[in-house]
Amino acid sequence: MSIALIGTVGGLTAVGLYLITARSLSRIVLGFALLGHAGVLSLLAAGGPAGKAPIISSDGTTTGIANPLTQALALTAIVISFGLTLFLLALARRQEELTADDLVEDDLEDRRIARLPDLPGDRKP
Amino acid sequence: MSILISATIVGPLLAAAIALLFRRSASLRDFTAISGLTVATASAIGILLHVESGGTHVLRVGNWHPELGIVLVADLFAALVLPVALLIILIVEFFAISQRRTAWGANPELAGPLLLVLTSGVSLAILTGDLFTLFVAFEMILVSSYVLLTHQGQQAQVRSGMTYVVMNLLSSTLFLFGLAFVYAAAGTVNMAILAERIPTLPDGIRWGLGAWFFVVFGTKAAVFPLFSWLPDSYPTAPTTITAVFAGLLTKIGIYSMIRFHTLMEMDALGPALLAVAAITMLIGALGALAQSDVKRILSFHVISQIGYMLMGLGLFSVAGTTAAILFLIHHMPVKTVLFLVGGLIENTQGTSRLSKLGGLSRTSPALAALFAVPALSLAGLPPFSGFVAKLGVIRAGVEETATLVVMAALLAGALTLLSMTKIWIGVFWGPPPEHAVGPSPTPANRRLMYSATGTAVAGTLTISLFAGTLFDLSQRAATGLTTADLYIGAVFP
Amino acid sequence: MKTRLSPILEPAVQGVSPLALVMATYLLFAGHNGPGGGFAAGLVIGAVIALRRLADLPFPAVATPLIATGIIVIATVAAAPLLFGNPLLDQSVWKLELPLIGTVKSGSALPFDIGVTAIVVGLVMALLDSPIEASDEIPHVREENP
Repeated sequence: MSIALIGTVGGLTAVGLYLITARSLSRIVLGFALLGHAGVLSLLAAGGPAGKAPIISSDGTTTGIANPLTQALALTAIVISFGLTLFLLALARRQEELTADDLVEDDLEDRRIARLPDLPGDRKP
Repeated sequence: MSILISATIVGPLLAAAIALLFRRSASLRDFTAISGLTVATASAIGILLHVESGGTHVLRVGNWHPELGIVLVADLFAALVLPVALLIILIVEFFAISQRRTAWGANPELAGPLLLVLTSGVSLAILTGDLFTLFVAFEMILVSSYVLLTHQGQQAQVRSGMTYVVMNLLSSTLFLFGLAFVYAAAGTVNMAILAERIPTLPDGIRWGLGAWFFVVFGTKAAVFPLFSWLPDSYPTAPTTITAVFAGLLTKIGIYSMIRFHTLMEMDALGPALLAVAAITMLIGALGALAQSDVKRILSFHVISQIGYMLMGLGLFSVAGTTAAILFLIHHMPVKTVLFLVGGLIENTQGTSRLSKLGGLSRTSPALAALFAVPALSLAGLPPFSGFVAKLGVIRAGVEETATLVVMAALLAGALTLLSMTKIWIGVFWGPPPEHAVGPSPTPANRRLMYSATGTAVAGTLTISLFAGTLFDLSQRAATGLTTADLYIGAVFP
Repeated sequence: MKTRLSPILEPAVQGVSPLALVMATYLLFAGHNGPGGGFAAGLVIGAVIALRRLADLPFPAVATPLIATGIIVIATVAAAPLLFGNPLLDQSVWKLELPLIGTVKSGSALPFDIGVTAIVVGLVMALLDSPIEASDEIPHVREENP
């Protein structure tokens, strides 16, 4: 397993996690894009040492090629994160249309219930 | 048999595409959706009959060896859950069709096809025999659920949809990392091979993987403390969509958890699972008490009930797993029906807020009856299916002398009954409200809505009637899960 | 006459579009045995559409039919082997001797790839066309402050 790959995964995860804690949806999108890359890279790292492209040449030799299975998994994961990024962007745009901003807001009903006095007797001062 | 298994996955997907093409004709679109779902449901029942008599059936997709390719495994657990799940979607689709023209209905052009894509994902998630396909199935379910939740583009939906999307995306990302960890540790993502290899791994890695996937599936299943997205987002969606989500989505999470954690022999995580289960039950039940809106109370009940299934799993005994499976099968239709009745209340009264409702037991006794049966069943009163399921969980807990969690379960049961009483008093008793909102202005096919809900209620009663048979089947399914050799032997004959 | 966004972008996109489509077609057919495939082809076409949108050039907006057709093709190719007693998603390869061209090898993977391309292109179009349908005619259902 390559140290450089692991370091990259760590860095991407750290930055990605930092970004998704933001309130602005466009930052969250970026955060998930980075986290997706980190996930895909960790899949590649799990697949073993690097090698030649896993395409069987015409004489049928398979020596020295990289693990094709994790590459197939990684490709699928990339496709999925591509679709999800599109959706998140669309959601951010809709939120901007509605509120002129793309911030993630609080649960209103939750706030309303939190404000309720518990019982008539123990109303807070 | 291969055709039946394929039909449950490909059938709805094909119907979704065809329904997308009928943009103008609503009746053709509805017909396509209903026939796609009917074919899938009929196939699922066929699978159950086959598996019950003939044992586990394995389909190797594209003839690849299981280590490299996708396998679909129809064991008894999958065969039991699949028809119930598909039947629920079918009934909800009928309800949805009748509700289309009301303000609470979903946009039919999108909702029909997306519900079918979701169905296909549910079938795939239930039948798959490897973790990566499970990831893909989760994404199919989630992507369609994201769009279903937010497609009307209203502010409340977009706002709560964001929380839902971000939480679930995070769990999907963790799932992806988990796949990398599993592959690095065991060199495969096929569950049968993993069931062989994971128990032989060093303890640290083994429990680490178990805990990681507990968080992944736990977010989907909304266990404590990963539940906050659920009561926020579910009530804002159109009723039909909430009914499917509440009945199915969290249950797919708990289904995957039962499958993964029993097959991989994660017994050592038992105490932690039980602790989380107890807190989940109580938090859900207490949260429900604090709410003042029918849909939100019901959303909190979803969380509380997940705790019971988790408790059955956390016991890691055949009796516990049996009870968890039985609870799962009972809970899916009951929860869906409750949300459908909530939708009916909203449709006829114009609101689902308790303070603006009242006196419905006199004005519409049919609605009261439709609500009472699943409500009492959910609270776990005899003779309904909820009683059998809850009794099973608690008896399994007593057998394992898990006293604290059994006490939590009993307490949460009482609290659930209390919050159901709150709905009952607020909605059905008392004088009609002074400022009634009035029924929704646009016409809906109320008769079809009532009959769809009625059919579902009848379905839950059937479950109570055949509780004995279901218990035996669940026990066989649980034995198949706890004895991993049976599963491995089926995939690698 | 409409104002150009940029004197470079529009002619450049105009010129690149057909080349990129040829590239996408190559990727689509090469995908079976070499680098490429339906998804890559779809992304290239999607990039062309995105560029045309940026340059304010016309592009076909047929997202829903494309996605639907793509899924139908994929589902059909996936389910077809069942009719011959083979498992789901089984592949078959055909060889054909054509005059002048020589041996042409193709298989059921090709329509599958075309279906994938259609879906990817459809998704990109759907995003650029209208992200989430704004349905303002539906009244707000939930009252926030009772």
